[in-house]
Amino acid sequence: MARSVELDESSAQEHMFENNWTDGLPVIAPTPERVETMLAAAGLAATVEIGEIKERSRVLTAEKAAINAVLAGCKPEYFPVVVAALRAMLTPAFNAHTALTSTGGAASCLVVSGPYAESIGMRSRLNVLGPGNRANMTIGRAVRLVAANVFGARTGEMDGSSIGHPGKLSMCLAEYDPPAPWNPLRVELGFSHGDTTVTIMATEGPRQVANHLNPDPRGVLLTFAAAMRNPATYCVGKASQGLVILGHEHAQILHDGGWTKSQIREFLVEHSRIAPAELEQWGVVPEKGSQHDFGATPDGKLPSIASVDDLFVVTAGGAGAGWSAYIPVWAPTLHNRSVTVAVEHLGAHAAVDATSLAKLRESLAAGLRSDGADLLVKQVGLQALEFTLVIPTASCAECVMPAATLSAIFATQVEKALGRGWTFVIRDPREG
Amino acid sequence: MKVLTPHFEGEEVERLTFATRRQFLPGEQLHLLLVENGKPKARQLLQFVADEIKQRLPIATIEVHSKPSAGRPIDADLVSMFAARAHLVISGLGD
Repeated sequence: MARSVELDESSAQEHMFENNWTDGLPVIAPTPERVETMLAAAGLAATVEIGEIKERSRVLTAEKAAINAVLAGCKPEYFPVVVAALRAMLTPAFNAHTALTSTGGAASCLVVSGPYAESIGMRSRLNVLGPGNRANMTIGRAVRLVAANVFGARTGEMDGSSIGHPGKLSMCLAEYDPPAPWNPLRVELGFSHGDTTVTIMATEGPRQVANHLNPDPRGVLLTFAAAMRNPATYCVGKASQGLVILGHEHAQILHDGGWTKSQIREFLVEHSRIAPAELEQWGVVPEKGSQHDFGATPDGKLPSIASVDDLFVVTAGGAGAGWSAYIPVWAPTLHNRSVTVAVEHLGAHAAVDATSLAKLRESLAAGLRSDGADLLVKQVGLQALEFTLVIPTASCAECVMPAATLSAIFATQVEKALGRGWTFVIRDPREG
Repeated sequence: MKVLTPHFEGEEVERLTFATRRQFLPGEQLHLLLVENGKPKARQLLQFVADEIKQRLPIATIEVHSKPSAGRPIDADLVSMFAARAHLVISGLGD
Protein backbone atom coordinates (compact mmCIF):
# COMPACT_ATOMS: atom_id res chain seq x y z
CA MET A 1 0.00 0.00 0.00
CA ALA A 2 1.28 3.44 -0.92
CA ARG A 3 2.08 5.91 1.82
CA SER A 4 -0.83 8.13 2.76
CA VAL A 5 -1.28 11.54 4.30
CA GLU A 6 -4.23 13.09 6.11
CA LEU A 7 -5.21 16.39 4.54
CA ASP A 8 -7.80 19.01 5.21
CA GLU A 9 -10.28 19.17 2.35
CA SER A 10 -9.71 22.93 2.12
CA SER A 11 -5.92 22.71 1.95
CA ALA A 12 -5.52 19.46 -0.03
CA GLN A 13 -5.04 21.15 -3.41
CA GLU A 14 -2.31 23.45 -2.11
CA HIS A 15 -0.57 20.51 -0.42
CA MET A 16 -0.51 18.64 -3.73
CA PHE A 17 0.90 21.68 -5.54
CA GLU A 18 3.53 22.34 -2.89
CA ASN A 19 4.68 18.74 -2.78
CA ASN A 20 5.16 18.39 -6.53
CA TRP A 21 2.24 16.08 -7.21
CA THR A 22 0.94 18.08 -10.16
CA ASP A 23 1.91 19.26 -13.64
CA GLY A 24 1.00 22.84 -12.81
CA LEU A 25 -2.74 22.32 -13.08
CA PRO A 26 -5.10 21.34 -10.25
CA VAL A 27 -5.53 17.61 -9.62
CA ILE A 28 -8.09 15.26 -8.07
CA ALA A 29 -7.22 13.99 -4.60
CA PRO A 30 -6.29 10.27 -4.79
CA THR A 31 -8.28 8.87 -1.89
CA PRO A 32 -7.96 5.11 -1.24
CA GLU A 33 -11.54 4.59 -2.45
CA ARG A 34 -10.92 6.33 -5.79
CA VAL A 35 -7.68 4.44 -6.32
CA GLU A 36 -9.36 1.13 -5.51
CA THR A 37 -12.13 1.85 -8.02
CA MET A 38 -9.53 2.69 -10.66
CA LEU A 39 -7.66 -0.59 -10.05
CA ALA A 40 -10.88 -2.59 -10.17
CA ALA A 41 -11.72 -1.14 -13.59
CA ALA A 42 -8.65 -2.86 -15.00
CA GLY A 43 -8.92 -5.88 -12.72
CA LEU A 44 -5.48 -5.21 -11.36
CA ALA A 45 -4.15 -5.86 -7.88
CA ALA A 46 -2.23 -2.94 -6.40
CA THR A 47 1.06 -4.82 -6.42
CA VAL A 48 1.03 -5.87 -10.07
CA GLU A 49 4.10 -4.50 -11.80
CA ILE A 50 3.30 -2.53 -14.96
CA GLY A 51 6.91 -2.06 -16.00
CA GLU A 52 10.17 -0.43 -15.09
CA ILE A 53 12.97 1.86 -16.20
CA LYS A 54 16.03 -0.23 -15.44
CA GLU A 55 18.47 2.67 -15.73
CA ARG A 56 16.63 4.38 -12.88
CA SER A 57 16.05 1.20 -10.85
CA ARG A 58 12.41 2.17 -10.59
CA VAL A 59 9.40 -0.10 -11.02
CA LEU A 60 5.84 1.09 -11.63
CA THR A 61 3.12 -0.73 -9.73
CA ALA A 62 -0.54 -0.72 -10.72
CA GLU A 63 -1.31 1.18 -7.53
CA LYS A 64 1.00 4.07 -8.40
CA ALA A 65 -0.41 4.11 -11.93
CA ALA A 66 -3.93 4.28 -10.49
CA ILE A 67 -3.03 7.05 -8.04
CA ASN A 68 -1.67 9.16 -10.88
CA ALA A 69 -4.70 8.37 -13.06
CA VAL A 70 -6.95 9.67 -10.28
CA LEU A 71 -4.79 12.79 -9.97
CA ALA A 72 -5.13 13.34 -13.73
CA GLY A 73 -8.92 13.20 -13.57
CA CYS A 74 -9.43 9.87 -15.35
CA LYS A 75 -12.70 8.02 -15.12
CA PRO A 76 -12.14 4.39 -14.04
CA GLU A 77 -13.04 3.09 -17.48
CA TYR A 78 -10.07 5.00 -18.95
CA PHE A 79 -7.62 3.11 -16.77
CA PRO A 80 -7.14 0.03 -19.02
CA VAL A 81 -6.00 2.47 -21.75
CA VAL A 82 -3.66 4.23 -19.32
CA VAL A 83 -2.18 0.87 -18.30
CA ALA A 84 -1.60 -0.13 -21.94
CA ALA A 85 0.04 3.26 -22.61
CA LEU A 86 2.32 2.84 -19.61
CA ARG A 87 3.27 -0.69 -20.65
CA ALA A 88 4.18 0.73 -24.05
CA MET A 89 6.17 3.57 -22.50
CA LEU A 90 8.11 1.12 -20.34
CA THR A 91 8.99 -1.27 -23.17
CA PRO A 92 12.78 -1.04 -23.69
CA ALA A 93 12.48 -0.14 -27.39
CA PHE A 94 10.82 3.14 -26.38
CA ASN A 95 13.88 4.05 -24.26
CA ALA A 96 11.88 6.04 -21.72
CA HIS A 97 15.03 6.82 -19.73
CA THR A 98 16.20 9.09 -22.53
CA ALA A 99 12.89 10.07 -24.12
CA LEU A 100 11.70 11.55 -20.82
CA THR A 101 14.98 13.34 -20.16
CA SER A 102 16.35 14.81 -23.37
CA THR A 103 16.81 18.52 -24.00
CA GLY A 104 14.65 17.93 -27.10
CA GLY A 105 11.59 18.01 -24.84
CA ALA A 106 9.49 15.16 -26.22
CA ALA A 107 5.83 14.60 -25.45
CA SER A 108 4.52 11.07 -24.92
CA CYS A 109 2.10 11.12 -27.83
CA LEU A 110 -0.58 8.41 -27.66
CA VAL A 111 -2.67 7.12 -30.55
CA VAL A 112 -5.58 4.94 -29.43
CA SER A 113 -6.95 2.73 -32.20
CA GLY A 114 -9.98 0.51 -31.75
CA PRO A 115 -13.56 0.23 -30.52
CA TYR A 116 -12.79 0.71 -26.82
CA ALA A 117 -11.74 4.30 -27.56
CA GLU A 118 -15.22 5.20 -28.77
CA SER A 119 -16.89 3.28 -25.95
CA ILE A 120 -15.19 5.48 -23.36
CA GLY A 121 -15.95 8.65 -25.28
CA MET A 122 -12.56 9.44 -26.77
CA ARG A 123 -12.52 12.09 -29.46
CA SER A 124 -11.37 11.20 -32.98
CA ARG A 125 -12.97 13.96 -35.06
CA LEU A 126 -13.24 17.75 -34.58
CA ASN A 127 -10.43 19.30 -32.52
CA VAL A 128 -8.83 15.87 -32.11
CA LEU A 129 -5.55 17.33 -30.85
CA GLY A 130 -7.22 20.19 -29.04
CA PRO A 131 -8.83 20.58 -25.61
CA GLY A 132 -12.32 19.71 -24.46
CA ASN A 133 -12.49 15.91 -24.30
CA ARG A 134 -11.98 14.45 -20.85
CA ALA A 135 -10.81 11.01 -22.01
CA ASN A 136 -8.22 12.29 -24.48
CA MET A 137 -6.88 14.90 -22.07
CA THR A 138 -6.75 12.86 -18.87
CA ILE A 139 -5.37 9.63 -20.36
CA GLY A 140 -2.42 11.53 -21.80
CA ARG A 141 -2.07 13.53 -18.61
CA ALA A 142 -2.01 10.38 -16.45
CA VAL A 143 0.92 9.00 -18.43
CA ARG A 144 2.88 12.24 -17.98
CA LEU A 145 2.09 12.37 -14.25
CA VAL A 146 3.47 8.84 -13.87
CA ALA A 147 6.59 9.94 -15.75
CA ALA A 148 7.00 12.88 -13.38
CA ASN A 149 5.93 11.40 -10.07
CA VAL A 150 7.26 7.86 -10.37
CA PHE A 151 10.21 8.28 -12.73
CA GLY A 152 11.31 11.82 -11.87
CA ALA A 153 10.64 13.38 -15.30
CA ARG A 154 10.20 16.83 -13.84
CA THR A 155 11.95 20.15 -14.35
CA GLY A 156 14.76 20.37 -11.84
CA GLU A 157 15.03 16.59 -11.64
CA MET A 158 15.25 14.31 -14.70
CA ASP A 159 13.49 16.35 -17.40
CA GLY A 160 16.06 18.45 -19.22
CA SER A 161 13.75 19.93 -21.88
CA SER A 162 15.25 23.17 -23.17
CA ILE A 163 11.96 24.50 -24.53
CA GLY A 164 9.38 21.71 -24.23
CA HIS A 165 5.90 22.11 -25.71
CA PRO A 166 2.27 22.06 -24.54
CA GLY A 167 1.84 18.43 -25.67
CA LYS A 168 3.95 17.42 -22.68
CA LEU A 169 0.90 18.05 -20.52
CA SER A 170 -1.16 15.62 -22.57
CA MET A 171 -1.07 14.49 -26.20
CA CYS A 172 -3.56 11.75 -26.88
CA LEU A 173 -5.96 11.13 -29.74
CA ALA A 174 -8.24 8.40 -30.99
CA GLU A 175 -8.05 7.19 -34.56
CA TYR A 176 -11.21 7.47 -36.65
CA ASP A 177 -11.35 4.18 -38.55
CA PRO A 178 -10.67 4.88 -42.22
CA PRO A 179 -12.98 3.82 -45.04
CA ALA A 180 -12.30 0.40 -46.63
CA PRO A 181 -10.10 -0.83 -48.13
CA TRP A 182 -7.80 1.20 -45.90
CA ASN A 183 -7.02 -0.45 -42.58
CA PRO A 184 -6.78 1.31 -39.22
CA LEU A 185 -3.41 1.56 -37.50
CA ARG A 186 -3.97 -1.43 -35.20
CA VAL A 187 -4.61 -3.75 -38.15
CA GLU A 188 -1.60 -2.41 -40.05
CA LEU A 189 0.50 -3.25 -36.97
CA GLY A 190 -0.74 -6.85 -36.82
CA PHE A 191 -3.64 -6.62 -34.37
CA SER A 192 -7.24 -7.46 -35.20
CA HIS A 193 -10.08 -5.04 -35.98
CA GLY A 194 -11.72 -5.92 -32.64
CA ASP A 195 -8.61 -5.08 -30.61
CA THR A 196 -7.93 -1.68 -29.16
CA THR A 197 -4.31 -0.61 -29.12
CA VAL A 198 -2.25 2.25 -27.78
CA THR A 199 0.75 3.44 -29.78
CA ILE A 200 3.21 5.66 -27.97
CA MET A 201 5.63 7.95 -29.76
CA ALA A 202 8.07 10.46 -28.26
CA THR A 203 7.29 13.53 -30.31
CA GLU A 204 7.81 17.19 -30.90
CA GLY A 205 4.71 19.34 -31.21
CA PRO A 206 2.29 18.83 -34.12
CA ARG A 207 2.74 20.76 -37.37
CA GLN A 208 -0.61 21.63 -38.87
CA VAL A 209 -0.65 20.93 -42.59
CA ALA A 210 -2.89 23.15 -44.69
CA ASN A 211 -3.81 22.51 -48.30
CA HIS A 212 -7.25 23.89 -49.00
CA LEU A 213 -7.41 24.23 -52.77
CA ASN A 214 -5.61 21.33 -54.40
CA PRO A 215 -7.84 18.34 -55.26
CA ASP A 216 -4.91 16.36 -56.65
CA PRO A 217 -3.67 13.56 -54.28
CA ARG A 218 -0.08 14.10 -55.34
CA GLY A 219 -0.36 17.81 -54.58
CA VAL A 220 -1.73 17.09 -51.10
CA LEU A 221 1.09 14.64 -50.40
CA LEU A 222 3.75 17.08 -51.61
CA THR A 223 2.49 19.56 -49.02
CA PHE A 224 2.90 16.90 -46.34
CA ALA A 225 6.39 16.15 -47.62
CA ALA A 226 7.27 19.84 -47.31
CA ALA A 227 6.27 19.73 -43.63
CA MET A 228 8.23 16.52 -43.13
CA ARG A 229 11.48 17.88 -44.63
CA ASN A 230 11.53 21.26 -42.92
CA PRO A 231 15.24 21.83 -42.17
CA ALA A 232 14.36 23.39 -38.80
CA THR A 233 13.05 20.05 -37.53
CA TYR A 234 15.69 18.12 -35.62
CA CYS A 235 15.07 14.70 -37.20
CA VAL A 236 15.02 15.86 -40.82
CA GLY A 237 17.71 13.91 -42.64
CA LYS A 238 18.26 11.70 -39.58
CA ALA A 239 16.26 8.50 -40.29
CA SER A 240 13.47 8.70 -37.73
CA GLN A 241 9.80 7.82 -37.35
CA GLY A 242 6.82 10.12 -37.86
CA LEU A 243 3.07 10.34 -37.50
CA VAL A 244 0.78 11.63 -40.24
CA ILE A 245 -2.75 12.54 -39.19
CA LEU A 246 -4.86 12.67 -42.32
CA GLY A 247 -7.72 15.07 -41.81
CA HIS A 248 -11.12 14.37 -43.27
CA GLU A 249 -10.75 16.12 -46.65
CA HIS A 250 -7.17 15.07 -47.33
CA ALA A 251 -8.06 11.46 -46.50
CA GLN A 252 -11.03 11.66 -48.83
CA ILE A 253 -8.94 13.06 -51.71
CA LEU A 254 -6.32 10.33 -51.31
CA HIS A 255 -8.82 7.53 -50.77
CA ASP A 256 -11.05 8.54 -53.68
CA GLY A 257 -7.95 8.99 -55.81
CA GLY A 258 -7.22 5.28 -55.39
CA TRP A 259 -4.13 5.60 -53.20
CA THR A 260 -3.42 2.84 -50.70
CA LYS A 261 -1.92 3.67 -47.32
CA SER A 262 1.25 1.82 -48.36
CA GLN A 263 1.55 4.02 -51.44
CA ILE A 264 1.05 7.12 -49.30
CA ARG A 265 3.81 6.02 -46.94
CA GLU A 266 6.18 5.18 -49.80
CA PHE A 267 5.56 8.56 -51.46
CA LEU A 268 6.11 10.50 -48.26
CA VAL A 269 9.23 8.57 -47.24
CA GLU A 270 10.70 9.19 -50.68
CA HIS A 271 9.76 12.88 -50.91
CA SER A 272 10.78 13.77 -47.36
CA ARG A 273 14.41 12.90 -48.08
CA ILE A 274 16.69 15.92 -48.20
CA ALA A 275 20.08 16.78 -49.65
CA PRO A 276 22.81 17.93 -47.22
CA ALA A 277 23.25 21.03 -49.40
CA GLU A 278 19.63 22.01 -48.77
CA LEU A 279 20.12 21.72 -45.02
CA GLU A 280 23.19 23.94 -45.36
CA GLN A 281 21.23 26.41 -47.48
CA TRP A 282 18.99 27.01 -44.47
CA GLY A 283 21.88 27.27 -42.03
CA VAL A 284 21.78 23.72 -40.69
CA VAL A 285 25.17 21.99 -40.39
CA PRO A 286 24.80 18.27 -41.23
CA GLU A 287 26.46 15.99 -38.68
CA LYS A 288 29.68 14.36 -39.76
CA GLY A 289 31.70 11.81 -37.80
CA SER A 290 29.05 11.51 -35.10
CA GLN A 291 26.20 9.14 -34.20
CA HIS A 292 23.94 10.78 -36.82
CA ASP A 293 26.35 10.61 -39.73
CA PHE A 294 24.30 8.17 -41.83
CA GLY A 295 25.93 9.02 -45.13
CA ALA A 296 23.89 10.06 -48.11
CA THR A 297 21.99 7.63 -50.33
CA PRO A 298 23.29 7.13 -53.91
CA ASP A 299 21.40 10.21 -55.12
CA GLY A 300 22.97 12.30 -52.36
CA LYS A 301 19.89 12.65 -50.16
CA LEU A 302 19.41 11.83 -46.49
CA PRO A 303 16.29 9.99 -45.25
CA SER A 304 14.05 11.87 -42.83
CA ILE A 305 11.97 8.73 -42.21
CA ALA A 306 14.00 5.54 -41.67
CA SER A 307 11.70 3.23 -43.68
CA VAL A 308 8.11 2.87 -44.88
CA ASP A 309 7.36 0.92 -41.69
CA ASP A 310 8.49 3.90 -39.63
CA LEU A 311 5.83 6.28 -40.91
CA PHE A 312 2.45 5.90 -39.21
CA VAL A 313 -0.60 7.17 -41.08
CA VAL A 314 -3.88 7.55 -39.22
CA THR A 315 -7.19 9.19 -40.07
CA ALA A 316 -8.63 11.64 -37.56
CA GLY A 317 -10.02 15.14 -37.35
CA GLY A 318 -13.23 16.76 -38.41
CA ALA A 319 -14.48 18.00 -41.73
CA GLY A 320 -13.14 21.40 -42.69
CA ALA A 321 -11.10 23.20 -45.26
CA GLY A 322 -8.21 20.82 -45.84
CA TRP A 323 -6.45 20.55 -42.49
CA SER A 324 -4.20 17.70 -41.37
CA ALA A 325 -1.15 17.35 -39.13
CA TYR A 326 2.33 15.93 -39.17
CA ILE A 327 3.97 15.03 -35.86
CA PRO A 328 7.72 14.45 -36.01
CA VAL A 329 9.35 12.28 -33.40
CA TRP A 330 11.99 13.71 -31.14
CA ALA A 331 14.93 11.48 -32.09
CA PRO A 332 16.19 9.11 -34.80
CA THR A 333 15.30 5.40 -34.58
CA LEU A 334 18.83 4.85 -33.31
CA HIS A 335 17.63 6.09 -29.92
CA ASN A 336 13.91 5.43 -29.70
CA ARG A 337 11.07 3.62 -31.42
CA SER A 338 7.32 3.79 -31.06
CA VAL A 339 5.69 0.89 -29.25
CA THR A 340 2.15 -0.46 -29.60
CA VAL A 341 0.37 -2.44 -26.88
CA ALA A 342 -3.16 -3.87 -26.85
CA VAL A 343 -5.58 -2.67 -24.19
CA GLU A 344 -6.25 -5.61 -21.91
CA HIS A 345 -9.02 -6.28 -19.41
CA LEU A 346 -7.43 -8.31 -16.69
CA GLY A 347 -10.68 -9.11 -14.92
CA ALA A 348 -9.54 -12.26 -13.19
CA HIS A 349 -6.18 -11.01 -12.03
CA ALA A 350 -7.32 -10.28 -8.53
CA ALA A 351 -8.29 -13.91 -7.98
CA VAL A 352 -4.72 -15.17 -8.12
CA ASP A 353 -1.53 -14.36 -6.31
CA ALA A 354 -0.69 -11.16 -8.15
CA THR A 355 2.93 -11.12 -6.98
CA SER A 356 3.64 -14.63 -8.25
CA LEU A 357 1.93 -13.85 -11.51
CA ALA A 358 3.85 -10.62 -11.97
CA LYS A 359 7.16 -12.38 -11.23
CA LEU A 360 6.32 -15.17 -13.66
CA ARG A 361 5.39 -12.73 -16.42
CA GLU A 362 8.59 -10.78 -15.79
CA SER A 363 10.78 -13.88 -16.00
CA LEU A 364 9.08 -15.09 -19.19
CA ALA A 365 9.17 -11.65 -20.80
CA ALA A 366 12.82 -11.03 -19.92
CA GLY A 367 14.07 -13.35 -22.66
CA LEU A 368 11.89 -11.68 -25.27
CA ARG A 369 12.92 -8.11 -24.60
CA SER A 370 16.31 -8.38 -26.27
CA ASP A 371 14.33 -8.82 -29.50
CA GLY A 372 12.08 -5.86 -28.67
CA ALA A 373 9.11 -8.07 -27.78
CA ASP A 374 7.14 -8.48 -24.58
CA LEU A 375 4.59 -10.81 -23.00
CA LEU A 376 1.39 -9.64 -21.31
CA VAL A 377 -1.13 -11.53 -19.20
CA LYS A 378 -4.44 -11.32 -21.04
CA GLN A 379 -6.70 -13.60 -19.02
CA VAL A 380 -6.47 -15.61 -15.83
CA GLY A 381 -8.96 -18.40 -15.37
CA LEU A 382 -9.22 -21.46 -13.16
CA GLN A 383 -5.67 -22.79 -13.41
CA ALA A 384 -5.52 -21.37 -16.92
CA LEU A 385 -3.54 -18.44 -18.25
CA GLU A 386 -3.70 -16.61 -21.51
CA PHE A 387 -0.68 -14.56 -22.57
CA THR A 388 -0.40 -12.14 -25.43
CA LEU A 389 2.87 -11.84 -27.27
CA VAL A 390 3.62 -8.19 -28.04
CA ILE A 391 5.79 -7.53 -31.07
CA PRO A 392 5.96 -3.76 -31.34
CA THR A 393 7.46 -3.38 -34.81
CA ALA A 394 7.25 -5.38 -37.97
CA SER A 395 11.03 -5.27 -38.27
CA CYS A 396 11.57 -7.60 -35.30
CA ALA A 397 8.71 -9.98 -36.10
CA GLU A 398 11.01 -12.69 -37.42
CA CYS A 399 13.46 -12.41 -34.51
CA VAL A 400 10.88 -13.71 -32.03
CA MET A 401 10.26 -17.46 -31.83
CA PRO A 402 6.80 -18.77 -32.75
CA ALA A 403 4.25 -19.13 -29.94
CA ALA A 404 4.38 -22.92 -30.07
CA THR A 405 8.13 -22.95 -29.49
CA LEU A 406 7.84 -20.39 -26.69
CA SER A 407 5.10 -22.47 -25.04
CA ALA A 408 7.39 -25.50 -24.92
CA ILE A 409 10.18 -23.40 -23.41
CA PHE A 410 7.94 -21.66 -20.86
CA ALA A 411 6.11 -24.79 -19.59
CA THR A 412 8.67 -25.58 -16.90
CA GLN A 413 8.77 -21.99 -15.65
CA VAL A 414 4.97 -21.80 -15.39
CA GLU A 415 4.81 -25.04 -13.40
CA LYS A 416 7.62 -23.92 -11.13
CA ALA A 417 5.97 -20.56 -10.44
CA LEU A 418 2.32 -21.61 -10.07
CA GLY A 419 2.44 -25.34 -9.38
CA ARG A 420 1.20 -28.39 -11.29
CA GLY A 421 -2.05 -28.36 -13.21
CA TRP A 422 -1.82 -24.91 -14.79
CA THR A 423 -2.33 -24.63 -18.51
CA PHE A 424 -1.54 -21.65 -20.66
CA VAL A 425 -1.74 -20.36 -24.21
CA ILE A 426 0.23 -17.65 -25.96
CA ARG A 427 -1.66 -15.50 -28.44
CA ASP A 428 0.67 -14.53 -31.26
CA PRO A 429 -0.31 -11.46 -33.34
CA ARG A 430 1.53 -12.99 -36.30
CA GLU A 431 -0.95 -15.85 -36.38
CA GLY A 432 -3.90 -13.51 -36.99
CA MET B 1 -9.30 13.32 4.07
CA LYS B 2 -6.84 10.47 3.52
CA VAL B 3 -4.93 10.57 0.22
CA LEU B 4 -2.32 8.24 -1.25
CA THR B 5 1.03 9.64 -2.39
CA PRO B 6 1.87 9.39 -6.11
CA HIS B 7 5.65 9.26 -5.93
CA PHE B 8 8.01 6.29 -6.23
CA GLU B 9 8.52 4.60 -2.88
CA GLY B 10 10.90 1.73 -3.57
CA GLU B 11 14.56 1.65 -2.72
CA GLU B 12 16.54 4.42 -4.34
CA VAL B 13 19.61 3.59 -6.40
CA GLU B 14 22.62 2.83 -4.25
CA ARG B 15 25.10 5.68 -4.38
CA LEU B 16 28.56 4.60 -5.47
CA THR B 17 31.73 6.01 -4.03
CA PHE B 18 34.82 6.80 -6.04
CA ALA B 19 37.33 3.99 -6.48
CA THR B 20 40.43 4.31 -4.37
CA ARG B 21 43.02 6.53 -6.03
CA ARG B 22 46.49 5.08 -6.38
CA GLN B 23 49.92 6.43 -7.15
CA PHE B 24 51.41 5.51 -10.50
CA LEU B 25 54.69 3.63 -10.34
CA PRO B 26 57.86 5.05 -11.87
CA GLY B 27 58.10 3.99 -15.51
CA GLU B 28 54.54 2.77 -15.61
CA GLN B 29 52.91 3.10 -19.03
CA LEU B 30 49.23 3.96 -18.82
CA HIS B 31 46.40 3.15 -21.18
CA LEU B 32 43.78 5.91 -21.38
CA LEU B 33 40.31 5.14 -22.71
CA LEU B 34 37.97 7.86 -23.93
CA VAL B 35 34.27 6.99 -24.17
CA GLU B 36 32.63 9.59 -26.37
CA ASN B 37 28.84 9.71 -26.44
CA GLY B 38 28.39 10.13 -30.19
CA LYS B 39 27.38 13.78 -30.10
CA PRO B 40 29.02 16.19 -32.55
CA LYS B 41 32.54 17.16 -31.42
CA ALA B 42 32.43 14.89 -28.33
CA ARG B 43 35.52 13.09 -29.62
CA GLN B 44 37.44 16.35 -30.11
CA LEU B 45 36.44 17.60 -26.65
CA LEU B 46 37.62 14.43 -24.92
CA GLN B 47 40.78 14.35 -27.02
CA PHE B 48 41.53 17.86 -25.76
CA VAL B 49 41.11 16.67 -22.17
CA ALA B 50 43.32 13.66 -22.93
CA ASP B 51 46.07 15.89 -24.33
CA GLU B 52 46.03 17.91 -21.12
CA ILE B 53 46.20 14.77 -18.98
CA LYS B 54 49.09 13.54 -21.05
CA GLN B 55 51.12 16.49 -19.80
CA ARG B 56 50.63 15.32 -16.22
CA LEU B 57 50.62 11.51 -16.38
CA PRO B 58 52.67 8.88 -18.21
CA ILE B 59 50.01 8.08 -20.84
CA ALA B 60 51.42 5.65 -23.39
CA THR B 61 48.32 4.83 -25.39
CA ILE B 62 44.94 6.43 -25.96
CA GLU B 63 41.91 4.50 -27.18
CA VAL B 64 38.59 6.06 -28.18
CA HIS B 65 35.28 4.21 -27.95
CA SER B 66 32.40 5.89 -29.79
CA LYS B 67 28.95 5.07 -28.45
CA PRO B 68 26.52 4.24 -31.24
CA SER B 69 23.75 6.17 -29.42
CA ALA B 70 24.10 8.92 -26.85
CA GLY B 71 20.67 7.90 -25.62
CA ARG B 72 21.60 4.40 -24.47
CA PRO B 73 24.11 3.29 -21.85
CA ILE B 74 26.98 1.03 -22.85
CA ASP B 75 26.34 -2.51 -21.72
CA ALA B 76 27.84 -4.05 -18.62
CA ASP B 77 30.10 -6.48 -20.52
CA LEU B 78 31.71 -3.61 -22.38
CA VAL B 79 32.21 -1.70 -19.13
CA SER B 80 33.96 -4.72 -17.59
CA MET B 81 36.16 -5.06 -20.65
CA PHE B 82 37.13 -1.38 -20.49
CA ALA B 83 37.85 -1.61 -16.77
CA ALA B 84 40.12 -4.60 -17.35
CA ARG B 85 42.28 -3.01 -19.98
CA ALA B 86 42.39 0.71 -19.19
CA HIS B 87 44.13 2.51 -16.35
CA LEU B 88 41.98 5.59 -16.77
CA VAL B 89 38.61 6.10 -18.44
CA ILE B 90 37.13 9.47 -19.30
CA SER B 91 33.56 9.94 -20.35
CA GLY B 92 31.06 12.74 -20.21
CA LEU B 93 27.43 13.65 -20.41
CA GLY B 94 26.08 16.44 -22.53
CA ASP B 95 25.11 17.91 -25.86
